[in-house]
Amino acid sequence: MWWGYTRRTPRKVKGGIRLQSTRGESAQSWWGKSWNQTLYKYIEEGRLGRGRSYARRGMVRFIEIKQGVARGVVQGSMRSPYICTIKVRQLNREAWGRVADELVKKPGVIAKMMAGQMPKELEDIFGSVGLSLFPDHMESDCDCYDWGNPCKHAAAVYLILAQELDRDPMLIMRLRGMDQKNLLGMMGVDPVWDTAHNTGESVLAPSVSDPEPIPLDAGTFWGRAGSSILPVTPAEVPTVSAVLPRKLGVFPFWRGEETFIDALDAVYKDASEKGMEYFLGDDDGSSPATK
Amino acid sequence: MAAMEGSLFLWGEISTERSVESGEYPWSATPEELRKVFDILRNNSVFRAAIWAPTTRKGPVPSSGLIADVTTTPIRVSPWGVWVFGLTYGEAITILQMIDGRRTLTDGIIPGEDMVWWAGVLRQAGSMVARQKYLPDVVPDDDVYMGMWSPAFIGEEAEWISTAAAKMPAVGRALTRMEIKAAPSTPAVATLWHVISAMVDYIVRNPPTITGRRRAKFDSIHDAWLYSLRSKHDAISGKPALKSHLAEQVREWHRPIMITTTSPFRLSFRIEEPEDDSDIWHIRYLVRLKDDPSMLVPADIIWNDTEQTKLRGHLFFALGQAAEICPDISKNLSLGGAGGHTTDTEGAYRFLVDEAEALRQAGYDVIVPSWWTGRGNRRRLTAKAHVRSTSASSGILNMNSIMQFDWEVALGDDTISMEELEAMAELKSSLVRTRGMWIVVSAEDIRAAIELLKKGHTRGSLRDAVQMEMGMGAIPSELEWGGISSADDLSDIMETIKDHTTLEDAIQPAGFVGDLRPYQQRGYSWLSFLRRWGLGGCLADDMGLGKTVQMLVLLQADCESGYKKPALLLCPTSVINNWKREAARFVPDLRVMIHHGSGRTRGEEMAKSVAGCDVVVTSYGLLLRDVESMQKIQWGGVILDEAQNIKNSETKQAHAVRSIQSEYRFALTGTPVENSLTDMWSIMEFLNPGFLGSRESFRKRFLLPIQSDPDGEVIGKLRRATGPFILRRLKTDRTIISDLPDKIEIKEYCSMTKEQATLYASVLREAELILAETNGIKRRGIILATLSKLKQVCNHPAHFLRDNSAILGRSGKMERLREMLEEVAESGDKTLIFTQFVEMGHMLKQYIQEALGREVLFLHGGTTRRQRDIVVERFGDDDSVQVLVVSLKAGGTGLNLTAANHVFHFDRWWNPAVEDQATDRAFRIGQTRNVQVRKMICAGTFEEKIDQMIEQKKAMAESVVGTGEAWLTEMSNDELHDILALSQEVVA
Repeated sequence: MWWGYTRRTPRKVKGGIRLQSTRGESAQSWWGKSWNQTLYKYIEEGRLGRGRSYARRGMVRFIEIKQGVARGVVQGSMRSPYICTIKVRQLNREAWGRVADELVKKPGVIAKMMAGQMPKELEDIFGSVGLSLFPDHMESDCDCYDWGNPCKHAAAVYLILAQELDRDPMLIMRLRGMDQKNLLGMMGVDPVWDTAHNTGESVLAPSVSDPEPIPLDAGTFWGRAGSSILPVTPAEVPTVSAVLPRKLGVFPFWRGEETFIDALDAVYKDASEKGMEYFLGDDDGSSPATK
Repeated sequence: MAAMEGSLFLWGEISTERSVESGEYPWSATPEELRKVFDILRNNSVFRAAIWAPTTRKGPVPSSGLIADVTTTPIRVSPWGVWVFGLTYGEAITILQMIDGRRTLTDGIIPGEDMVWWAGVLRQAGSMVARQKYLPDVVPDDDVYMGMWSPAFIGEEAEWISTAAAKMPAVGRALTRMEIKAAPSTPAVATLWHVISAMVDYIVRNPPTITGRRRAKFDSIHDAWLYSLRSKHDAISGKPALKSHLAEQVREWHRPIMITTTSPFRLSFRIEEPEDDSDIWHIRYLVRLKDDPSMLVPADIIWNDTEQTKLRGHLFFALGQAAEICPDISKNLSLGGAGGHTTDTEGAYRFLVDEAEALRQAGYDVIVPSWWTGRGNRRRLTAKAHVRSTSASSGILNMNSIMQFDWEVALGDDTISMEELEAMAELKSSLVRTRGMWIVVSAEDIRAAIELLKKGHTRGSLRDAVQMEMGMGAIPSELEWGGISSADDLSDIMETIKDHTTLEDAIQPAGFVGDLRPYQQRGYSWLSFLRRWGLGGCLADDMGLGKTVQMLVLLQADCESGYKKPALLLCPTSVINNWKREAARFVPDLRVMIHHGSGRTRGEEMAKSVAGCDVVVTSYGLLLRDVESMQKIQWGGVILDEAQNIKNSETKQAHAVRSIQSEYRFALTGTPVENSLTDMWSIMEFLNPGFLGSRESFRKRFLLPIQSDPDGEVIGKLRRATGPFILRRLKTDRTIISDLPDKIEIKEYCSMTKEQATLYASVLREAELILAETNGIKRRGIILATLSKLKQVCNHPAHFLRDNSAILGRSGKMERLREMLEEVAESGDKTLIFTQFVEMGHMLKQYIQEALGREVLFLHGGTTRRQRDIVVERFGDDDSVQVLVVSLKAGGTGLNLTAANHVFHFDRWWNPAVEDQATDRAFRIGQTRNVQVRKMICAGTFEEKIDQMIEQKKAMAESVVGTGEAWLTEMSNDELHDILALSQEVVA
């Protein structure tokens, strides 16, 4: 049957969301990998390969996540990109109630999730109430011409979601229909991430205190002799570099040309030596070693 | 230096008050004056800005008494116009590096307390960059978004920023544009954050990895962000909506850090060893509230309290993160435990070795048993040596004798046998309990220990053994050095080297006139012990404890024992005469030659003249000039006085000193050499070459680790290694105080400069011409006037000339005073300086202020009663004031100045009663320390002669010599000439 279909090469996309892993699995964590299993179960091999290469080349231009739904904008061979929706089967209230009853008995599970881990026990908890943590079914809807479902576009979006799950395991709850705040509320815990903090200021900055008037006392104003020498934290160059950004995980939906952590790693390595020079100051030891 | 609108600005104060328009800061330094100090300020923007300073009814209060009166009480904060230079962060950092750790930049240029503080901020920024405690960030600024590297105050320095902000001098945030009408009120924390972020960003970014013209087009906002972080163009290019989305993503990515920093508590872990013979270690989880750090609450109390939803949220997060680091915590959490867990010995070892450190770095407190942290106490297998002499070392032992080292392995004091080692190797655990103590045995240590025992013994010199015993030797094993286990006939020497209190008293030479105080006897015995073994030592007693006499006694003893080779004594020019006079007083038989002046000998001739004496005294400067002649002489010893003169090991002076061969070497100094490690290396390298390793290896092994961790193990190691060669007694030591009289009087003999000598001679010549033709009252008047002029010349040429000319380097007396004041200032003691002349008082105040970078107070006849009370009170209470100059007719009778324990009489009244009265301002009831009184005398001048006559008079019942100066007017011209004329050797 002739559908007017000619095979075309996909258009090049610049600045799309890229998978940070260049080979193998799109996720590093067990839960990201488990998430992908559902995709593997449903997708045809060839489409999976093409979808993976789409994800690596940054063909996914945009992803929007809502409770139970992720919508991606994926560039294909046509001029206008495809809109691709992945629906995750949500658990109903009653089912969530059963999960929550078990979770309350095991607060450690939530503690670990808040800290960016997903303990295996979570799967057991779901199993113990006759549910499964990861959706056993995949539903996608794409406006491309491919009748196969899931298509490569859906695959690309799915794989990138796995990468984001690596960084933020709580995302699984949201995709499964549970708001994080509600869940924590059931656990008797406040969400520690205060959304009110979104003031535009860097979150690394100390919270701004009240205005501090200029003191009237001349000694406090000018600084008393000898009292202004600051204690400085001892410095040494760490053996493993860029530990801090590594701990924070893959940047959310990274679109850069370079791999994010590789780009940072080079900067951190260079900078450590420079920092040491500023820390040591005059290398002839003008700073007293004894106190 | 002050922050305003996110940038740093430089301004200055100068002590000359200007007639200025109202609203101007009266002591604002002009742009030209500032450029003179910082020549990098060529093209910077200069403008007038307002500094909001504490202000009295009369005007602003300046930063220090160095500028003007600071004793008035402010009533409000008002803006005052000053000249400011806008600085880039690069320039600000360059300036701060210049001032880091220095009290003065050059004489008279003093960094403000705020700059000292900013310099500390820069070091912290460097430290955070080195340790990679920062993250890429996005900082919005109106419509512009900047890519920035921001510091992350988590873990070890979570509290640093508030601690540092609390110490910030408010002047650092008190600058505004002129047109601003309200006083600034940006909190110190916010100001500090902006500046340290900018510093971190500057250090990471420069030099930029991406150069070239600005790129504006990027495929994605993330590429644009990376570009803004690595080039010098920090503004991110892209559509506003994309940039604000990027900022959101960055915040999302930083989220875990934010949770940590806003946590109301810190989670602590405490490991407790088994209480009985069981194998159960407890690791307890405790919560320490930031509001009340003294309280440690078991974490499960909060964990189980469902009312505390906020605290629980943070506890969940904190324990969840800890679980990632420590598998046992993770396991325990899964079981629902939040109060702690137990582990076996192997687990405890793993926790102590790895997990504790990882937890600490992640920002948790970890409390470990004292035997683990107690630095150096951590018990390990060590290598010990049994040292004995060999047949090759027959005869008298010296440092080069060949010894045999028999090696053994020990744990504390117990020797460990090969069998025991093999048994340990079988054990699985690395943490072993022996005799109720937990010790750590690593597999590597056991392997190294077995190897060492197989090796058995080695050979080396006695010097090697000493070096090993100090922890500085090369040992044939990777084990830690455990000390010499026994040393047969050598144990006495080893013990004495390590602990000089066990020294036997050396016998005082017959030719010594005087008494040694007990601690001086100990010092002399120590010197003679080192001398006997050919080891170099540094006598670093506090100023005034008599280093000179201890050294002289040693030289005399050497001489009496028949030792023929002369010693070379190097000192600053200003104290050459002092050495000569001290030698004449204490060891009159010692043949002292002064190698100084244009008549000095060189080459062959010098060798000949040296042969006839016991000590040759010369200056560092002349050594440099005559070094070749010096090198040819066979010296017994080389002694450095004021050894800080070679503190920089690379100077010509230091090289020249080290190039003189001798059998023994000593150094004397009153400044604490151990305060600067490179100074210490230089002096040790002179005393015991090679002992501390090369400069480079010393830097790696000691300097860098100690700078990184000033309280770490390494500093202790260095102290142990150098301790035997440095003897430093403080006058505040209890044992010393009891040896010291309450009041020590010292005559300080100074040399004159050539200029002074020339002036002195011409004043005298002129006076003698007139005296030859006058008599009666007129003659008396001329004699008194001449005495006064000569005194002025001895004080300072500018004092005599009254021409406001330069002060530096023209008066031997003044330079000597400066050297001594620098030593006093190091110790934090306070000093009174008396002069008869008000003009001299002004000069002293100005000169000392510029030299020390500290305010000097001045009391004179013109001081009002109210000011006088303030001065006295400040001298007593204000730690930043260390020197008070007094020029009062009656020496300030009635004043109580017991805060001082040093007194200088810069010129003399020739009246002991008057001088004692002045001295008693400090030495009176209320004085708890001993007082050092110095009378400054220009050697070879009438000052010295009159002083001698007064001393003799004290011994005689009745004499022509009266008090004061009047009796001099009764003398004949010839008698006068004898007293006033200059002796030949005075010129420096």
